[in-house]
Amino acid sequence: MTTFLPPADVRDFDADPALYGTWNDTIAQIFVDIKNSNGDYKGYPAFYSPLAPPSMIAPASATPTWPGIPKGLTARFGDDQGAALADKVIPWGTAMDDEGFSSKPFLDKAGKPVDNNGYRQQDEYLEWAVHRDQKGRIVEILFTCEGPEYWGCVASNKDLLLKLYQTYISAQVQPGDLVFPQDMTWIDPNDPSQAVQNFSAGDYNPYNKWNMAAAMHLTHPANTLGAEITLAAQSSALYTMRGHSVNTNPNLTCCRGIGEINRSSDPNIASAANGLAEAGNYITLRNPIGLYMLDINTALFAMPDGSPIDNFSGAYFQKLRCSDDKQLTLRARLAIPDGVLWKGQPLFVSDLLCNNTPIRFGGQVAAAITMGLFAEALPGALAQTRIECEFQGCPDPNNPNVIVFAKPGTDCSKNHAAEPAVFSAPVSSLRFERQPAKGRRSLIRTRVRSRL
Amino acid sequence: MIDAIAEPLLAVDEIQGNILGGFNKDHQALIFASFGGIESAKSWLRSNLEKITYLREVSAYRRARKAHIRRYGDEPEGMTALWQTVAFTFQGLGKLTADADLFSDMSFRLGAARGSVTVGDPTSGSFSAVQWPVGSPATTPDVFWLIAGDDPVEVSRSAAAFLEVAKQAGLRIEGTEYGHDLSYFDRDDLRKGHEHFGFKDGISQPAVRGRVSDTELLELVRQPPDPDYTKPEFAQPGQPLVYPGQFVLGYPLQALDFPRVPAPPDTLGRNPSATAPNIIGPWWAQNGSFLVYRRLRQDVAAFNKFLNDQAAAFGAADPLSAPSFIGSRLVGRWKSGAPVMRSPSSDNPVLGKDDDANNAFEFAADGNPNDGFGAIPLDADGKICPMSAHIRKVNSRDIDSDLGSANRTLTKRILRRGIPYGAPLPDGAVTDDGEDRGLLFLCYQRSISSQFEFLCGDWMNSRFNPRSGATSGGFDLLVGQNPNAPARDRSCFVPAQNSSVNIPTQGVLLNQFVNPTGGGYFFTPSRTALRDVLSK
Repeated sequence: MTTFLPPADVRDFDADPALYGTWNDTIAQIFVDIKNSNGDYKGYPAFYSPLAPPSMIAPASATPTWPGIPKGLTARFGDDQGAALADKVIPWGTAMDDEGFSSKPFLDKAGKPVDNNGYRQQDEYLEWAVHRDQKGRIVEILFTCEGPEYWGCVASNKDLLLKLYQTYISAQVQPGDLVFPQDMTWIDPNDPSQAVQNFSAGDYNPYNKWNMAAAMHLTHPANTLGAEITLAAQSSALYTMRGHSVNTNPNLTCCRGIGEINRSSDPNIASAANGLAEAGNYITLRNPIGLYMLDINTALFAMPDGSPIDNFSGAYFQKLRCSDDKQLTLRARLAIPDGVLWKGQPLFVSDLLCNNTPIRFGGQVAAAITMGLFAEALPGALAQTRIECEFQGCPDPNNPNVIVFAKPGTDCSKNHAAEPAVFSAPVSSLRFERQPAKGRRSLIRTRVRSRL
Repeated sequence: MIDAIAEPLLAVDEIQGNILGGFNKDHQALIFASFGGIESAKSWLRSNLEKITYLREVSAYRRARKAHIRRYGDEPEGMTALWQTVAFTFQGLGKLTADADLFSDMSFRLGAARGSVTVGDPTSGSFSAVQWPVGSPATTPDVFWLIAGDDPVEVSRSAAAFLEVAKQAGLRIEGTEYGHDLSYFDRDDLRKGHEHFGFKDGISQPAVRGRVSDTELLELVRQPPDPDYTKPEFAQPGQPLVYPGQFVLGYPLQALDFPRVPAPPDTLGRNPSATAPNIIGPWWAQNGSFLVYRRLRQDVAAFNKFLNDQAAAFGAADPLSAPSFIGSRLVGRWKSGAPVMRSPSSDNPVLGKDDDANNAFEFAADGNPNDGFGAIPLDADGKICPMSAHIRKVNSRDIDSDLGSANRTLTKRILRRGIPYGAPLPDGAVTDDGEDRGLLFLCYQRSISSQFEFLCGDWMNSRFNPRSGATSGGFDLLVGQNPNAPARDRSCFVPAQNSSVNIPTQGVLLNQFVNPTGGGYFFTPSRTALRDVLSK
């Protein structure tokens, strides 16, 4: 393959083939930035771009998977309350969300906070929107795992952007709904450099009301494709702590803040990728690079009386955007198929059972969805110097199911306060800008988490 | 000095003896009954309370037996016992006490016939729950009684007496099953501890933390702890220590990511309140445990034929062309119990019999236990023991799963107490004799939905979880199910020498070799619960 393909190899860009090149450039630039970003450690020697593999043999692979419900919530609050909290949209500028994450508001030209909606409190690369009728009954739940970078790319063709929003969300979407109404500035909470980003009126606004209402794509600052690629790169290095190799969780992710330590996604991806690296492989992510809904545990779903649902994963859990072979799903909708009644009455999603409990929150369904991505490996990586870990993990003294940072060698059995995650190694911001095609307005700068 | 936090004191006179430790007897009678009148049921229960065996007695017996083996190198003769346990369905508890309604585990409340869907059982046909002689919605019992002993005559005599008394008390017997260790049938000691497909069963059980007295641990054997505190501590090699709350209500649980750290116990109470909204059961559920029963019919001839057919798909030079080799890759062990991780090319019966060595392995950390059976290779990708091998599907040991760190797997462990039923077929038989044989599967845990049902529905029945790659992973072909495919077909990857070959199902309904024919979800109460609540 000679170019980076869109996630799941979807063909939106057939309407404007130049965007295939834009997408390729977007992803290629991430790889370049990663190579240049590692400070003293010379750009992750065991990490490669799938477009430039070090050898032509068939790669080995790993498919790290994780459930779609935020572990940051279930570990803190338990499965039931965690699922309830996961449905929340957190306005920008909220000091602390339920996972302890904080963000600043968007500001207008005068520096005053201005409303620009918020983000969904769902950080396992799966987000969803729950639609209820006036009686509070759930009529549908929409799931997405498409990243902001892709939709930023789509947005360089405003007509394509509008058409897709109108197709998947609502025929009522107007062009003006999808853009910033005025100039705004913002600081990405996940950007270590905390640089101010500028948005002009007319730029694509990822937090537009339609995305917020119907989950066109991911909104949580941690849910970016760039973050995943960076994570894979960080996982290609080898780590040590006080003379012992570190390649398992929780210490692998705590080591140098490789991803968010209390998520499911980052630690699982890191451990799968790092396992390949430990075996002496070069590693990368398979092209097309993306994160996907791979599976849903249909056996957990039942009719109100517990009887099994006929064709749940075809008729009820509908794949709206997916790969041609339907194995990789980007967008899905849980709804009652047309014409299905229950004892002669209309049936609602909230009547269905998930794990023997009526569906009250999208998070219950997210917990049944298996998310995943594809890492690849080729043998023959040169020996690497192991990087010394700056932190280990300890249980939070207030809740042993939550991991906190601690200095290496801490005796976790003694209570202690969490360490602030301040890393001494040079940290560079991996924000990048997709180069706008000639004549088109520059749109969103994509935020990429990095904690090098 | 025993660390009181790491080793909670277990109420040995309250916890029924089959839960921790376990009866482990070669002959067991399982009786399923429904109450007639409630007063006569309570009176019947009162009169049977003294028959119940608790942990104190089972633990002392195990110690004495181990001491004998250590001293004389041999099993003691004549050290026999006859032990009994009782458990109740949610429906049964509700007939005896109103506050049974405080049990919040939905799987327990709804019962095994409903759980049948979650674990992927067929929903129509002769193996669907509605057809089960015991455990269908119409034949859900109230009470489960188990009699276990070393002498089959004593067990059956005791069962007969029990049945007589129960009928006098107005109980209706829904069913009775007799399980026997397979060595009983043709006096073939090679079958001791084996199940009907020929594999040694029940080797890997979690070790439970805790003390049976101020100064004595439940599990005496302890490995020196790994200096890495993020690794579990082990009793026997390969047998991690797990906090007792994962199996008995009211005790500390495992913290999710730190194996040596306890998490607060499940909350029990009189009523949900503002401060304790999430109680999982009434106060008297303390020291109790949930029991899952599954009557699994095994089609031995079909299993053997499947192995023969699959072996033919590999070239003669490939070790996988031997049916026994394929079988070892579907299970993760050879028939003797020797794990493929420690004996990749062929079975090793000496290793299979050695309980200090047959479970002493991990997947991600190579090492050498220096027990004479060699070093353990690294197998993070499932090239030696496939990801889909049964023992790896239900326990990925030190490899991370989709849930996160490997330590989370400790919260999914169960205590298995099953026993085969029916006479065995000759080894390798491909012709069925029409007889009913299989496994009376029993396991204990704190949560049926998050442990037993999870292992079935989220891991064994998943193409991806707990771990997979492009050429590794797939369904558990031994006991997993796939309710999604119209033909219920499953496949998995078994790596050949240099490539992976996908063992497909060739359109055969693979559930033909393990099928559910009965089930039940029960709660095994403490002595206090039995005496002061349920029989009052």
